[in-house]
Amino acid sequence: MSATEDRIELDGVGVDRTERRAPRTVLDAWGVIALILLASTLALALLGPLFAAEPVGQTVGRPFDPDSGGWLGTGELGRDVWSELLHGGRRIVIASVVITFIATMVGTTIGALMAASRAASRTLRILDVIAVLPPLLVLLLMLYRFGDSLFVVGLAVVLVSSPYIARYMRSVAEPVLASDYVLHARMVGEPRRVILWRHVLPNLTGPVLADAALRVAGTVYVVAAASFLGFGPPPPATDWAVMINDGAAGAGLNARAVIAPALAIAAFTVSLNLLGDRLAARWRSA
Amino acid sequence: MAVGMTASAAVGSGVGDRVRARPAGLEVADLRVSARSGLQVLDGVNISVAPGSIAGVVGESGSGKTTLLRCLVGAVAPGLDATGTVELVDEQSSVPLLGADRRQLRAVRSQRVAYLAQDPGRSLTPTMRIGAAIAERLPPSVDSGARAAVVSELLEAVGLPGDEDFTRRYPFALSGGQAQRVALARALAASPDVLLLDEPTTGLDVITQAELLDELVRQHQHTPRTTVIVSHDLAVIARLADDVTVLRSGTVVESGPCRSTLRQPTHPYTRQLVEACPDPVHHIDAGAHRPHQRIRTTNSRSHGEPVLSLRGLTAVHRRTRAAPVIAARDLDLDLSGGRCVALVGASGSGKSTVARAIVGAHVRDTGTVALRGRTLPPALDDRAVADRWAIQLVPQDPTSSLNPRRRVGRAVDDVLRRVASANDEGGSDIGQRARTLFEQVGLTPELMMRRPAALSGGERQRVVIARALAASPAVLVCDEVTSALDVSVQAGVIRLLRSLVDDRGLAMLFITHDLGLVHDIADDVAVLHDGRICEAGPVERVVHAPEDPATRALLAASPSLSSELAVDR
Repeated sequence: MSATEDRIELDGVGVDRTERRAPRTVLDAWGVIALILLASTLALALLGPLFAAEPVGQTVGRPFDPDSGGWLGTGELGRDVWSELLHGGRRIVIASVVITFIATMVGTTIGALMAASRAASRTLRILDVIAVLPPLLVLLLMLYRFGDSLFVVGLAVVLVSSPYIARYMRSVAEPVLASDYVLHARMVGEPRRVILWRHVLPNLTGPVLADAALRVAGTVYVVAAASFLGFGPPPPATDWAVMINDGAAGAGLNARAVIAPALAIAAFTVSLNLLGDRLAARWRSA
Repeated sequence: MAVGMTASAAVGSGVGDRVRARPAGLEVADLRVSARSGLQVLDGVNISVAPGSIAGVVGESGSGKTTLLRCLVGAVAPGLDATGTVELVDEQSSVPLLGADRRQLRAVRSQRVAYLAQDPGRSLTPTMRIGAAIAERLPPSVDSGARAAVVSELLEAVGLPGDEDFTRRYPFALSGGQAQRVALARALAASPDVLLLDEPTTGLDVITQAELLDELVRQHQHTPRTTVIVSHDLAVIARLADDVTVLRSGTVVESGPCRSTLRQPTHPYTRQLVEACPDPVHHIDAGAHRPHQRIRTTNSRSHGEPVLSLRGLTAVHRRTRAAPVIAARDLDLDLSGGRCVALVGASGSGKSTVARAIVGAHVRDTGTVALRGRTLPPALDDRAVADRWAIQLVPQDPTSSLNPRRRVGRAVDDVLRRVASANDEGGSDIGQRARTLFEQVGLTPELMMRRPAALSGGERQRVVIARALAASPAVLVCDEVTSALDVSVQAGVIRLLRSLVDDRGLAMLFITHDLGLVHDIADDVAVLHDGRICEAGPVERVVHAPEDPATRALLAASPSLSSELAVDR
């Protein structure tokens, strides 16, 4: 943080021209906290099933009994909340990351095309129409039309978010394509693919990563919303969103049944948001 | 000059007996500013500015001059810690500015000390009409009925029209020079006791710069106002200031009365700055001492046939939200090996478009660009690769011409490898050749492993030159290559470029707005005015006996340290 300000301050003639820039870091105190939080959530979600005391769907006591089962008590059907929590992260976390990855690939390709060619830009403007549709509406329509599956949820997310990613990528790719170093590469006759791989894409990784990190959080919400609305994993399998939905009914009896999965989702998305912000800030200042 | 008078009279009539420009001075003692990273931005600076005098602060990038100026309004940037004293002193009181609380600072800033930041465009709110922007800074005591009149008098005082058509404009409808003047009028609206100017002429073309400087001098002759002016340009300081302080890396290396200090600098750094200051006039007497003068006469490799010829070149820079700039109309120009032609024109006249049209980055409208007699296609992508190598461009901003993700050594390697593979040569000695190129442009090969961000501006520009040389060009087009560099760095880059012309027999087109540089590098000069070459010829002739009025105007407006120092004020 202070490094930016130092630079502005040192700068004699408007833009930093001769001062050597201090290397900037993503890892300020909040960055470290976010990283630890993200690592623990990922560990919980990915490795959790190995450590669960009970198998999926196992009833261990009365419903919503704080004293039965593990340290988090029991949930709606008398299942152990801690075991459910350990089982229920994998699907949401993996699905969100994979879906976001695909959406980012699609959006980035479209955005790069739009930045590189005016004709493509004009044609692909049509995508903006999709961008105005409410994501949940698209999701529900698609789930009703194409059936209830994670694949359809993913398709809906890709469809709804790629216009935004494309717009963003176009705006960050344009200055890179117009830069003097890309001009120079053309002046020495570098082929297009070399220009793309060597000079354009490496300069887009920062913004792409920053955007993707923020977007995973958005995808989590859509995937969770689908589960919450009843388009989740087939019973007895569960995930954090389903747990929130089921646990809400008995929140008065065992609040931990709803708080624990909610916190898990929050930890995942908030840590990604914090890291995404830091990546974005670093990229802007670079 | 009446202008200053009328403005003050109007303010006076609106306010009653408002005291304007109370004589107040500034006292800075042992000012130290450090960044939390441990970097010392200012290290024990002492400056005393007498009431009604103009103090000049000279320094290069990173010297801390902007930090110093900001300390004078008590605006130390977050992340910096300042110690020492900064006081606004008048007959009755002395107000400490460093460590003052917000309320005191606000009072001082709104009434007593006006700070004009570097880029005037940024200090004007884009959604506010300029009349309103100036009126906002008027003291509340000015009658609401009189405000419009005071605003137009303030505008006239800085040489702008004060009519309603102008006051109702938004900042985007102003030129750079007009925006700078509006910002000045705004700063003067509160009739402050002290005026702080940060690089007031940076970004202006020479003619606008000369007008602004004249305006400041006129203002000051009419109402002497304590002024601190920060600049990297010694000629600007010499024109305005009574006293000068030379700042280097946060310490004052020399200070004293402006003229005597710059005439006989005692500190080597000041001497270096004075010597590096580009000066169109200076060389009339000193011409004999220039080293490359000798080389040029013994080594004029001008072959009969030009390497590059432009015939009837017309290039129009079409902008999205502004009128198109006709960069060149019907331009004829020849470049031969071993000679450098300077193309001189005002900022914003479209010189870069000419450079880009030559290399093919901008598609010309009409005319031809011929390389050794062969006409080249207008668009870069249609040109044969060997023809692209033959004409290399060194753009204005070295930062944007290097890929930030690529080590600078690789940037040069890439080009060498590309050329070698096209010529079916082995690539085994590429590392060695890249090192040689680095040495030729005056860089140590250790820098090759760095990324551009870890280099200084001058180093980056040298890398860009090395990269251009890697393509073994016949023609080097240099577009304002020194405008992003400090004067002391600039001199080195100019020497390097000249040596390339002399030693490698390159044909060079050196595009600049600065007539002061022309002398040091070019054999011939062509002056661009309204897209046409209004005058062309050998440098000595054009600079010393200009024939065209546009050339004369440009020369007269060019800041010249030697002629400033020659006149006694």
